[in-house]
Amino acid sequence: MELQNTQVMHRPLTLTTTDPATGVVTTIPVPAGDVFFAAASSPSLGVAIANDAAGNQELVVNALVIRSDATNGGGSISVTVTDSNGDAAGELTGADAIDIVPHPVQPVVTIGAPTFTTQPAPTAPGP
Amino acid sequence: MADDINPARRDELTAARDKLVPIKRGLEDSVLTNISENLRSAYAHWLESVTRRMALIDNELAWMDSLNIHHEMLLDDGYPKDVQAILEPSLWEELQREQADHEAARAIFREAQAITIGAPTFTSQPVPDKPGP
Repeated sequence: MELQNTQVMHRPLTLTTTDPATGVVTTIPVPAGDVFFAAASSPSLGVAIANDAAGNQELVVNALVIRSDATNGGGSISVTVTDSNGDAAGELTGADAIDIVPHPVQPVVTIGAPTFTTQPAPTAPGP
Repeated sequence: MADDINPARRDELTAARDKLVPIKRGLEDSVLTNISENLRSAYAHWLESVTRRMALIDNELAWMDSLNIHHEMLLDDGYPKDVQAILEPSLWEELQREQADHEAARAIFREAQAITIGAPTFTSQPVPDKPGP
């Protein structure tokens, strides 16, 4: 996925279990004391664990370089999240791996040089 | 003797059987009268049908009798009260120790969990200085 170099991406972190019989995935509360860790496959991507507004741990990802994608031999940066309880890691890989792309330049309204035509003098005195 | 566990069914079967008794008796008598062979044959055919129906009813009633006996044995065993297992104090103490050991062993296990990274939201930052990659 693309991450613009002016974007900071926040992603919630949860723990899940999967019922082996039905495949149903259940989200369970993160136990107190379980601490998440994040690592990126490239130093061009900043990754950290922070608390969101509700106090839950979240993954924070941001660009540390202007561009890192296939055009300059970078990109496809994977992110791995582990925790202190040793649960199965969460990963951003494949289509979820990060390409850092420049923030698109926004168009600016520019007023050009003047040219002139004529009209009758207005009748109202002003101001 | 315990109550019949299905008295309505027993009444229904008994009534059906009672209705067949005179029919069977009439057919048995009729077969013996001075009639044509064709009519005798028809009587014999239906006598066989009625006899079979009565036998099937008797069979089900006999199974109901047997079921009642088994039901009574179940009631005599204390059903529907739960089974109450009582242990001597020394055995009870041993069971408690075993249970504590089992719980201690079970406490080291937990269900496998996986970290799931949720959907992204975005805030902004200044453009980085370094070119990359």
